[in-house]
Formats: sequence, structure tokens, C-alpha cells
Amino acid sequence: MKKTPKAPKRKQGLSRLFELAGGKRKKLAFACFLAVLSSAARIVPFFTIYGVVQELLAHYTLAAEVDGERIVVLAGVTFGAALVYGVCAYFSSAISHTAAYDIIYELRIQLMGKLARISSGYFTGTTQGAIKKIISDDAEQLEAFIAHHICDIAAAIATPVFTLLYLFGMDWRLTLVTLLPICISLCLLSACLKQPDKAALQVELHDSQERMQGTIVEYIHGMSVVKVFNRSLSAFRRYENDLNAFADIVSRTAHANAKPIGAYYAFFGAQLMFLLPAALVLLPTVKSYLDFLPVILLFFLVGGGLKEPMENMMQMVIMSNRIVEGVNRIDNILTQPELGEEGTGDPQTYDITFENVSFSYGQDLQAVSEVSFSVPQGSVVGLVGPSGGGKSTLAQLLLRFYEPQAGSIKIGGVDIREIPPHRLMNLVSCVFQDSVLFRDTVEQNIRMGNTQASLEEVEQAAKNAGIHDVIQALPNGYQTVVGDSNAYLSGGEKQRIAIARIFLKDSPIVILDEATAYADADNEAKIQAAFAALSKNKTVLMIAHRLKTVEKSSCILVLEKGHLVGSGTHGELLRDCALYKNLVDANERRDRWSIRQGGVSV
Amino acid sequence: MNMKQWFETVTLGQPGQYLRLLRWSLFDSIVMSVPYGLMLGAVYYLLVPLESPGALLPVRNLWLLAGGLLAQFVVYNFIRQKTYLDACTGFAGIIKDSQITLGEHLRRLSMGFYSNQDAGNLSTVLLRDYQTIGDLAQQLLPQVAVILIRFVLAIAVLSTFDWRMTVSVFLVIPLALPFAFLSLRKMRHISADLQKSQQEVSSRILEYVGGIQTLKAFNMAGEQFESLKASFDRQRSSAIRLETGAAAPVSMLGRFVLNCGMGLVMLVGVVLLTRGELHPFYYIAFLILTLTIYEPVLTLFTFIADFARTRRSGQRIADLFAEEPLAEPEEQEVPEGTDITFDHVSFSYGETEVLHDISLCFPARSVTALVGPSGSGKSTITRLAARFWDPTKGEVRLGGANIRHMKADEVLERVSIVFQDVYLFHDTIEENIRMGRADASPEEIIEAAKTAACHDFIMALPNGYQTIVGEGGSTLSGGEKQRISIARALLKDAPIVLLDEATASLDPENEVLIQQAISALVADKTVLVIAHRLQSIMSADSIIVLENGRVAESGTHEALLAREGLYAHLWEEQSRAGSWQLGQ
Repeated sequence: MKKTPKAPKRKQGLSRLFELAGGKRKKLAFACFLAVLSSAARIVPFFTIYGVVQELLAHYTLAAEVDGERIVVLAGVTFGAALVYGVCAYFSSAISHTAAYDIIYELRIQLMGKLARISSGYFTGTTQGAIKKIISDDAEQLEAFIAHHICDIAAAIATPVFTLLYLFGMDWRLTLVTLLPICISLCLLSACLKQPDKAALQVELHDSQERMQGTIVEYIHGMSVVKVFNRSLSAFRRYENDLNAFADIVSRTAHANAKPIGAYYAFFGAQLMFLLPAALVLLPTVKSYLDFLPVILLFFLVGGGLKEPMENMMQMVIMSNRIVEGVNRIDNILTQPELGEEGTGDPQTYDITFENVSFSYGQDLQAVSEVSFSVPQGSVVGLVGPSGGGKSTLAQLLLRFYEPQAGSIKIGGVDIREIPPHRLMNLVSCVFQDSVLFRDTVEQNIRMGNTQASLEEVEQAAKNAGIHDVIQALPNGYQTVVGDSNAYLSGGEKQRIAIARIFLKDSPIVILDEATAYADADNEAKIQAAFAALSKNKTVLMIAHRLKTVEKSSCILVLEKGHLVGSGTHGELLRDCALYKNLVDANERRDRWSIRQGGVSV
Repeated sequence: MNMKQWFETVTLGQPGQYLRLLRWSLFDSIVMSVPYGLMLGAVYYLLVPLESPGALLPVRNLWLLAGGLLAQFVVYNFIRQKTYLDACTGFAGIIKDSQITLGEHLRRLSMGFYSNQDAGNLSTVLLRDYQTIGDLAQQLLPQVAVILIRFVLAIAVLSTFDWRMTVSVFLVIPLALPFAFLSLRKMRHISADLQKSQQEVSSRILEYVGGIQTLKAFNMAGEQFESLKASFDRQRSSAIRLETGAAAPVSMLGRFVLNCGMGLVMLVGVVLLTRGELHPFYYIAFLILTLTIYEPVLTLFTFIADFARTRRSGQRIADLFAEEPLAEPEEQEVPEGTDITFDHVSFSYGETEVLHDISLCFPARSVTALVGPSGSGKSTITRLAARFWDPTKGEVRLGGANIRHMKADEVLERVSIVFQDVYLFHDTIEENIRMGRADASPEEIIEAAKTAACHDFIMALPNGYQTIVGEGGSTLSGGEKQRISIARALLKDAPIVLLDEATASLDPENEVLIQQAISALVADKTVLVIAHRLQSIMSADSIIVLENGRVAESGTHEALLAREGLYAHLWEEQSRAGSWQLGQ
């Protein structure tokens, strides 16, 4: 399953689709075989009819001489063909669908694994919704290609080819005449699509559609704001206008295309118009009228029958293009560079060193530039500074969610790039500000910290995090499923469950991210107590929003716009660092503010 | 019956429009059928030399028929243009009209509706569900027309040839259709199951992606995250069940029955022929035409899966139309003053009552703070005051008028709302602030921005007030967005202010600026504030402490401290937390 990092040249388009389908090659080949068989069975009636007609014409005036047995046999063949068609079509579809969903399943697992191995930078450049769309919808679209198109293509190619070969044997001239209108209509269509003004209309259509979709989304998402300001009417006007504009461009495109499309369809169904004169022209040259007549009738019959598989084939080409776009998005994830996992480093001490670390999320702004500091084992270091200063980025760099562009980060003297990711994650744990709980039991959520832990250990961790009592009070205690309607947990309670995980994990290095606002004071105190317990005998990096929290710590780092602008104890910084002093002042002013008391007067 | 409901949802309440489109489709298929008639004629003439040996082939007549085919080709060319235009613009028009009607309907739904709904789901209805219905209608309607016309013409023409043969052609159709319906029924059942597992996959993916850092930190990302894997697996099996399960073989059986029709026609024909009861020309005519009658019915079978899907889309659209806006009073009560009174108000979300018999008074031009643990009902109270919903019991009065007897718009006109989630439109900053008052001059907008402490950061943006903010306002920080929403509220200058004083994940400097802006906003207004930091509402005229949807206590800061109740406890906890230091 694991892909080699140096993948050969990326395949694209249809060949990439076939590559994806290749995993179930045998199954699909069998499904295709059945599909071809079923479509062959489907054209059998043409030939049994031909047989009956032949028999009838041979004894046209003497009905009594008609070989009834031959016709019964032909009817039997027709029944048999219907049965073969049904059975083969069903099994072909069943097999190809099973293969398709297996492939989709495996692709999703592959995507899921990939997301775990790539830098978090990928996630900042996209949205959760977009990733969901890729794993859910784009992958799903493959079903159409694998389950339908591959077999349909086989059938769509095999059916006309077999039919045409057979017809060719009957009469090559009439065969060419049958093909003529189809060729003309295809030429018409492609010529029409290539015209520059038509192409421009397509672009305009696309733009207008995007605008309309944007407006619809904004109309809905902004509705509550619009209502509060009593502007729903003007928002509605805009919604209405963009919908009308789109309908208008649809209509203009349709008018522009109407003529060629009309001709396209008219030609597509015009086999008879070509066949009849052709037959009349050929008639004087034939040796036996009685032999030629059934052939003409056969062509009358089949001429119309060719239309459908041909149209199917066209439809598929259009659809495949849409699928290819989705596959490109899937590949975009699958080809993201992975974080190297080859290191074997195993630090024995737990001090942290940042050496000239620089990092930026994109081309723009450096999130962290040239930052150097060290945290001795067992000490507490505070990180402070205005939001956007780079505090959280430093924490994420230490967790190797991102790779710094320059500099190095070491734990116990070992560069974290040399430490296998599993080992690194066992060394460092982090309490995120917005803790994520998963839709699973409370016990399983805590057990994430250590899957081997006993129930007693899980409970002990919950007690340490000050959340045991709350869990006990839930309808099913530790077995309550988080997110179920009967189990309401406040933000602070979720946070404490997340902290219990960290207790269970018991790693030597802990990053704590203090939340700025708590829903209620009760929770805040309990979380603080849990933090205090958690940081005992550990190397701690505390991201603090309230400066008081880290006042006592042995070292405080002040970050602003990615630069380390000061470090030292509280006293030293008050004396030497202007920014720190400003932050302390702002903190005090904020804490003194009270609504309707003249705001910020000191 | 279900079919009728289905028809109503799929026609989006405009069956008349559909019938108009159908008329042209019918005409289209009549003209499309002409070649088959001409073909019959050609066969007839081609058989003349066999019918009466020695007779010459009526070449002239055959050329005339060829001319007829040419004429049909030319006429069809034009008709097809018309039906193509109909297919593109007619359906787009019907969908657009319905989308506009729905848009107008959505506009009148209450604020409460929007605070309970996931906006993403709503826009999916407007975009995806309409698309699904449009696509199906566009494909289905011509098919229906073709079936109708072919049946009528075929019955009319063929029954003049031989009624017994006609019966044997059509016999298989009523035999095959029950299989189609049965398959549809089974399909519906399974696809509801599939849809559930698809939703499960979606929400699990979001959970996975949203929590990926946490999962990584615990070495649980990738294949270790069993619940996502399991949901993929469930979706795979229900999808396979849908495609291979009972519905598919049943539908195949239907197609098999239909395909048998050809054999039946052959058999009946040969029996009648040998008995001398059927002319060979008629026999040949039946042989040539039978397949073209079955073809559109077979196509109908391939729509079965789409039927099931459209029903769900139609249902979601119908559900939205069924949402009732708040009842608008026929005669309006006009409020005098801006005091707000809750008189024995209870309120339930669905089954659960969240506010129990609350009586409160928020005097005009005073600041009332709502305090309490999350889930205690603070935000429900502020929302009821703005008539997001109507209370289940009791009444809310504004300036003496029962707000149930005021238009929701009239209530909202008197209220400024500053909540945590700020939505900015994909438009300039200036226009975003102008939301507050449509006719505000640029000077007034700048003034509001200055008061709300936005001016400086706006001027630092590349195009100042003309800078476009992204959809959802993603290019501004949380604090900046919040201040813009305050500038809007300042511009609106409503006499009542509802405020959620949450300042999540902002740094102190940003918070100080927001505090400054709030101070400007609430001056001389009737204010309801949801407080998180007790310090900031110390000086409120009245503090109401809520617990589990009931008023636990109320009074001024001093009075509440003296009571030594819940508030005093919260105050003490918060003071302690505020001076907490790590490493003590």
C-alpha cells in the first residue's frame, strides 16, 4: 500500500483512471467480458429478425411453404438472447460495482493514511470542507468510471464493431452509408464547440454560474446579518438578479448552439434518409433482388439501432473529463511530500533547543524568523506576545506538524527530524486550545493517551484532570458517547477530558496552551489545577495569554511578528523589554474595564 | 398516492410549465416517428415485385419516399432546435423561478430558524438538489413524450394491421412494469440506508480532518483511526448492496421480460401466417417496428435509480417550503419606550424545555448582565428578546407591546446585535460597515469605524475602505471582524443592544480595543449583555444569574456578593483563577 517516495512520472487523465482501476484488473476484465457478451446478446434480435424476414421473402406468396420450425428456432434464439443479456448484464454490473467500491474504499484508506503523514501546512491552505469533498465526493465519482464506463466502453466499442463487421460482410457500401450521418453529426458538433465565440460563451457561462453559486451561498450564510439590519430585500434582489443573469446566459448559449445541435440530432437519426436512396442507386447493380432485399431490410433495422451505443460513447467522453478533475484533486493529496520517517534518533534527556529557526506558512510573512532559545529539562518556560506573534507556531514546530525552512530544533541534543515520528509524539504532548473530542465513548477518548491503559488508570487520569465526577454524572458514565444529545459537555469540560488524555500519556515534555476566555470561572480554576499537576517534573512550554500565569516561570519568551524580542524573568523583562511592559499594562487595563464605566480610562 | 406527491415535488409546483414543455416534446417525437412510417411505405413498395411476380419496382414512389425523408430531416432540424432551446431554457427557467420563490420564502423565515440550521445544508438544497431535479426532468420528459407518442402511433397503425399481433407486442409491457416498480421500492429502502452511511462518512471525515493534529499527537492518525475506517467500510457495503442487492436483479428480470416480447411476436406471427390469417407484409412490419417500441421503455428502467434520488431532493426542497415563518400580526402593536419585560416565559427547543417560567425586566437605558454556566439559557434569553422565536409560554414585551404582535422586522429594527460569530460579505469594507445603515455617507462610515477602533487597521489594508474581504471575511483576524461588526451596530444606532461579551482567543491589546468600542456602543442604550468575565459587568445596573434555565438570583454586584450565593462563588473562583500562576 505504501507508495514509494520517488514515484515515476505522474499519469494523468484517462490513463490515470485506468491505473487506479488496475488494482482489480482481473475482476474488471471479467466484468468487461460479460458486458461485451450482454451487448452482443442485445443485438442478436436484429439477426434473428433478419433470418425470419429472409424466410418470409423466400416464400412470400406461398405462406404455407414458410419453414415454421426455422422461425420457432429463431424465436427460441431470441428468448435465449434475452436471458443471456439479462444474466450477463446483471453479473457484469454486480462484479464491476463491487470492484469499484473496493477500489474507492482502498483509495480512501490510502488518502486517510496520507493525510496523517504530510505537513500540517497542507491543511492551512485548504478547508475541511474541501478535503471532505475530495475523500467523499471525488472518490465516489470514480464509481461511475470503474463500474460503468470501463465495461460500457468495452461494450460500446465491441457492439458497433461487431455489428459493423457483420454488416460489412453483408454489404460494405450500405455499411459506409450507415456510418455517414453519424460521422457528419460528430464533425458538426466538434466544429461547433471549437468556434471561438462559442468557447467564449462557455467561459461566460461558467463564470456566471460561479457567481450565482457564490451569491446563493452568501445569501444563506449572511441571512441572519442581513435580517438584523433589515436588508433582506436588497440581498434578495441581488440573489434574484444573479439567478436571472445565469438563466439569461444559459438561454443565450442555448440560442447560439441551437442550430448546430438541431442539425446534430437530425443527422444522428437520419440513417434511413441515406440508406433508401443508396439502396435505390445500388439496386440496378445487384445480381439477385431476392437476396438483396433482406439485406436492405436488415440495414433499415440496424441503422437506427447503432445510434444508441454511439451516443453512449459520446456521453462517456464528457463524463470522464469531469471525473478526471476529481482524480487530479485526489492525486494532489497523494503526491504531497511526506515528512521523512527514516530517523533513528532516541534522545535520553528532555531539554529543548531552537537554533535559528525560521518558518513561513506560505510565500508571504515569516511566521517565525531566526528564533533561538533553549529550555532546560524540567523547567517551565512561558511564551507571551500579541496574537499572530508566532507562539502557537513554535509549539507546532516542536511537534513537527511543520518543518522549519531554516534552523533546527533539538530534543536532548537530537534533531527532531532524526527522531521517528512515533517516538517524537511519545516525547511531546500538547494541550490544544480548542480540544478535539471524537464521537466515541468518554473512556475511548481518554484512552487515546495510552491504548494499553487499564480502566483504573483511565479513571485516575480523569481524577487528575478534575473531570472524574462530571463523567460519573453522565448518563452512561465512562461509556457515554461524546456528542450524543443526552450528554452535554461544556467547552471547559471537554478541555479537561483532553487533559486527562495527556495525564494518561505521561510524556516528559508538555506544551500547554492557555485558553483566553472560559465560559465560566469554575472550569477555569479546575483547568489551572490540572495544568499545575500536569507540569510536575516535566519540561513545560506554556503559551500564556494572561501574563500572570507565567510570571513565576524561570524564563519568559516574548514573541512579536515571529521575532523573539525579549527573554528572561518577569523582573528582567519589565526592566528591559518595552513590548512586555506594554502587554502587562494592556492586561491590567483590560482586567479593570467594566461596561459603561468610561471604557479604558486608567 | 406516492406518484402524485413525487410529480408535485419534481415539477417544483409548476406543472403547467412542464405541460407546455411536454407539448413540444410530443411534437418532436411525432416528427421523429415519421421515418418509421416512411420506412414501412418503402418496405411495402420494395415488396411489390415479390407480391405480384413480374411487376416492376415502383422506383418513382420510392424516390418520393426518399424525398419525404429529406423533408422530415429539414423539418426535424427546426423542431429539434426548438425542443433543445426548451430543454435548456425552459427547465432552467422553472428551476430559477422555484429558486427565487424559495429565496423569498427563506427571507421571511425567523432568525431562530437560521440560528438552528447549518447554512451549508441549506445552500446544498438550493444548489445540488435543484440540479438533481433539473437533470432528471430534462432527461425524463423527452423519454415520456417518446413513449406516449410511440405507443399511441404504434397502437393506431399496428392494430389496423392485426390486433392479435398488436396485443402480443404490448403484452410484455404491463408484465415488465411491476418489476420496475418493485425494484424502485426496494431501491428506495436501500438508498435511504446508503444515504445514512454517506452522511456518516462525511461527518467522520470532517472529524478526522478537524482533529488530525490531535490524532497525530497521540499516534492515532491514519489507519489507527478505526471509526473512520469502519464508516468507509459500511458505506462500501451499503453501496454494493444497492448495486447488487434485490433491486438490481428485479429490474433485470423486468428487462428480460421486455426483451422476450420480440420472440413472442415472432411466434404468434408464424402461427397466424401458416394459418393464412396474417399477410407476410404485416408480419414484416411488426418485426421491424417492435424493437423501436421497447427501446424507450428499456431506457425508463435505467432511470429507476434516479427516481429514488430525486425523491429525496424534492423532499428536502418541499421541507424548506414547509417551514413556517413567524406569524405576522394583522394589527401591529406600537411599543412605547425600550424597556423589555419577560412575563412567565418558558421556551423549548423541540422536546426539551430550556427556559422555565422566567419573569424579568430590563429597564430602558440600563445595562443588564446575564451570568451563568454555559447551557444555562443566557443566549436564549437575548434571542427571545429580539423575536428570533416566540416563547412557548408567557410573553415578551417591548415598550409595553407584546412582540408577538409586532412584525419581526419591526423588532429587529430596534435592536443591535453583537454576537461572537461575525459574518462579513464578499464586498468592500465600506459596504460591510454600511450594512448598518444603507444611506450612511462615507464620512459617517469612517466616523463609526473610528469609534469602533477599526479605522487604523482599515487604513493599513491595501485599498483602505475599498478592500474586498473574502467570503466569510477570512482575511481579517477575529478581533478585527468583531470590531467591524461593532462599527455596523454603531451606524445602526438602535436603542436596544444585545451583546455577547466573549473575546475568545484575542490578545489583551485587541481586547482593550474591543472594550473601547463596546463602551461607545452601549452609551445611553438598553443593554442586555452576556458576560463571561465578571469584572467587566461589575458596574452593570443589574446582574441576573441563571442556572439551568431558571433565574438563580439577581441584583447589583454588591448585593449579589453580600448574598454569598452562586454569583459570589463564581466571583471568588474567577478572582482566584485570575491571579493563578503556574509553578506555585
